[in-house]
Amino acid sequence: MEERLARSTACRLALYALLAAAMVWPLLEVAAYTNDFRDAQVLGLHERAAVAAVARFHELPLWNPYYCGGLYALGAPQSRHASPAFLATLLFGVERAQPVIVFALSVLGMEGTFRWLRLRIASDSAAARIAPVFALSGQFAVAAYRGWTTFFGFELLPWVLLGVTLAAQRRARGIVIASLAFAFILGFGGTFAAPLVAIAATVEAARAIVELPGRDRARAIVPLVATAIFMATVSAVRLWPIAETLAAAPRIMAGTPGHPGKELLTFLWGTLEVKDGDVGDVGSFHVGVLFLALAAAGAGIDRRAIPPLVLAIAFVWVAAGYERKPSAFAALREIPGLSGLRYPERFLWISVLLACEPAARFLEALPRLGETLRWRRSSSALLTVVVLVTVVSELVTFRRAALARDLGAIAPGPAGAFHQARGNRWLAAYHDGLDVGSLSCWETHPVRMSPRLRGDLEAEEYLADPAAGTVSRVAWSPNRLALHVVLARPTRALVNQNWHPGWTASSGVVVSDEGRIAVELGDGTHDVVLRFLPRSAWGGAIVTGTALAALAAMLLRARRVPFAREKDVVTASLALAPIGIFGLVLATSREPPFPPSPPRNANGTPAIVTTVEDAPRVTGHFPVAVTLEAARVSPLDEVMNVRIDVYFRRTGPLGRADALFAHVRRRKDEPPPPERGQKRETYHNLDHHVIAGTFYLGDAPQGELVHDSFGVNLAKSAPGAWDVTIGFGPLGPGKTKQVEMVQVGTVFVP
Amino acid sequence: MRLDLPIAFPAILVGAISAGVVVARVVTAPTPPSRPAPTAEQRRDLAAIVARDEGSWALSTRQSFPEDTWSARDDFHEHEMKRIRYVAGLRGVSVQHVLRAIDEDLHATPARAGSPDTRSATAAPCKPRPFYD
Repeated sequence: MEERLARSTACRLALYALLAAAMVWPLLEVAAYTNDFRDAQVLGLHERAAVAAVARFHELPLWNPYYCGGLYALGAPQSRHASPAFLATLLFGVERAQPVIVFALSVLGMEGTFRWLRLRIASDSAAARIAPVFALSGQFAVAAYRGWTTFFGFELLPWVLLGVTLAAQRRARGIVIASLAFAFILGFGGTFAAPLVAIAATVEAARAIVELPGRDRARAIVPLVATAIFMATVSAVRLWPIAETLAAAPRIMAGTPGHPGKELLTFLWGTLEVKDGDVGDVGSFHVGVLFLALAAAGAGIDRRAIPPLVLAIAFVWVAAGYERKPSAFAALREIPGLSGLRYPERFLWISVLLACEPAARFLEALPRLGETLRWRRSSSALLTVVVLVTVVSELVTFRRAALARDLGAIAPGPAGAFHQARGNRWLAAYHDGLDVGSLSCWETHPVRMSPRLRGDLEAEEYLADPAAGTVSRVAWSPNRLALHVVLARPTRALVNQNWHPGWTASSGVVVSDEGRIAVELGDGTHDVVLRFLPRSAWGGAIVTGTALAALAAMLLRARRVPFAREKDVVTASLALAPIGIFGLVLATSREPPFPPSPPRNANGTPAIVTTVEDAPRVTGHFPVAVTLEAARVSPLDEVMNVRIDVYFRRTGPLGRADALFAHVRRRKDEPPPPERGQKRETYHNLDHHVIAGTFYLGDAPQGELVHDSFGVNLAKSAPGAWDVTIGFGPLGPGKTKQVEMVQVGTVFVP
Repeated sequence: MRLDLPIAFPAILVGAISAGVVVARVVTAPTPPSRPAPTAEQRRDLAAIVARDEGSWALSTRQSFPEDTWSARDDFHEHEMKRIRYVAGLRGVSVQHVLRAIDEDLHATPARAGSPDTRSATAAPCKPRPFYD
């Protein structure tokens, strides 16, 4: 009976719906309130902007004028509207839709885990009982607390892995499942989930190949390559804009994050606590100690549970980050495309999913160890109770996090004429209905923002030469702006929003004016209509459409036929068709490229220059291929900041460990610092691997003049003369001492 | 796949009821009570309270993040956020009302592209720091 119930899809979905309903229950009563956590503010604003574009202006949500001075909405890594879940947002509203989306994705997560487990677990009952553990695990409680609705896309991870293994078995539906699940994750804002999912999918593919009989292994390559291609092309409408955005404004992730093994275990079995307005790390991937015991016992009882357990432990090793030597996480960061990986602990998500398999093995195998019916029933009942305790502890964790959220109320405001405001990203959600854009901006990547945007202008559209004529707004919507311009002489009409190559004008030429949208116009009267429709949006949609059509064709032909050896040409053609379309769009479109922004220091000064400006020449000998050319130490400013500018060239290859050393040290011949009071500091270490906050020293363009500008505050430093010294070399314990430091300036602290 | 009706029917019912209850509770969840909108004079007062310490925030955030324009500005806005929440609670108005008051205050003296920026009203391009340890 147990197996019969578990085999029934309807029964499983009923059970999973009940569990998901229990999970979201604490969210329902306050569904109309907004999550006040800082990240939720911004994520909510992205969704609100998309709703406004569709519901109010009847446009596609391509451009988001409400944030950061204007962003490409499809290319914003944190937006989530390029997925079917957006329909729920349109139907219920941004706030009320979230519990519905979480409910639906959790059910999908449980069912996906069941189906993935059933690929290798014979018992429906064992797989069905273990499946909820992943979908209800602690990181989803963290996501609910912080308003990271996008992270519920991770619920589709088992579907991706299921599809990959089915594809390796030459089943066409595997390609469809993996591609659609991956496209959903990416469209739902899973930009940071995508690399993790891709890594997990690669490991799953390797495992699936190994599990095949020797003669079938080579034949799995074609469908797996086709799967990878379809995963990319089905998600092209989202992947292309994001790739374009991140290529134009890449972010470097430095630092050496990591966690000791014991600490990671507390993430898995500890109790999630909310403290100081945020959740802690302990319990942040809560599955409980009983589940871990089940997984470990599974490997002891059935040798087939050993490979997935080893893989789960391997991902724990990745999750340890730089704490574990050698660091698997560091190795992954060296792979092209994965250099931006961060928060290594998130790999625990994959570990939890993989650990479900040995746990299910234990549930399957233990009752079979005894020969009596009584043993089978009692052991099975006991294991069910153990799983139940695990699931209840996960639900309690979710409830605790959900009830601890700070909630706010957002009222619809009066509609007015759109304009940029200074805004406040910490309160981004509250800009809803104010018809303003927040220039206060936080994103996970450097945003191509014009520093010339203002939140206090008398008009959002104006002329570069105000005396040349007049400009007035005729119509406004996120993707379309109509202007009436009367000019006595040629000039530029400027718009107080960020430029993007996807903007075109019915009259004149759209250009970037210090990062703002500008239209070059001649004299006379112009009715200019600006439209935003970037190539990566329409081109990506065509590629996605072609890929979906190819997938449908593949499914229609038969489950296995496309992968029969003689049909490899057909398979290859279907997989390559979307890539051909992509190439065609690229070749025929006249849209100007979105060039990477010139690298700049955190203070806005350029990081690559042609000449040294007003800085004394200095030289030094360093153990790495760097030539120091000049440096300047500015006097203390009114807040006791000192600015240091260093000019140098990289003359040869450098390692990732090589760094710029900068020491600000009080002279030894100064009298001892005061024993009391705040001004007691005598040394500041400003060593850094990342130059201008933009690139590693080893990635500095060879031969070019690099300008690194940074500062230090000396308000709490002891009075007297301070020397600033600079050096270059490998950064590590004790290594700094081996480098000759060059004095580049002196500061006097009053 | 054959449907096992004696099992499937009640299961479908349970699943549908679960989903239905979730949707029904979401739809009928009470709307947050709205707060009275302040008058123009009250908004000027709200804006003045927030603006009072802007100068000192601008200086202190430069000390916290020397030569880091975006980080300093973001820190400025965190100070502002705390003040806005405090003022909204104190005066019994919504956060939106205070944001609107600040925006009206900033636009009360309309600026042009080259006007001096005394209120941190120009954009500080987002440049997150390269560390997430």
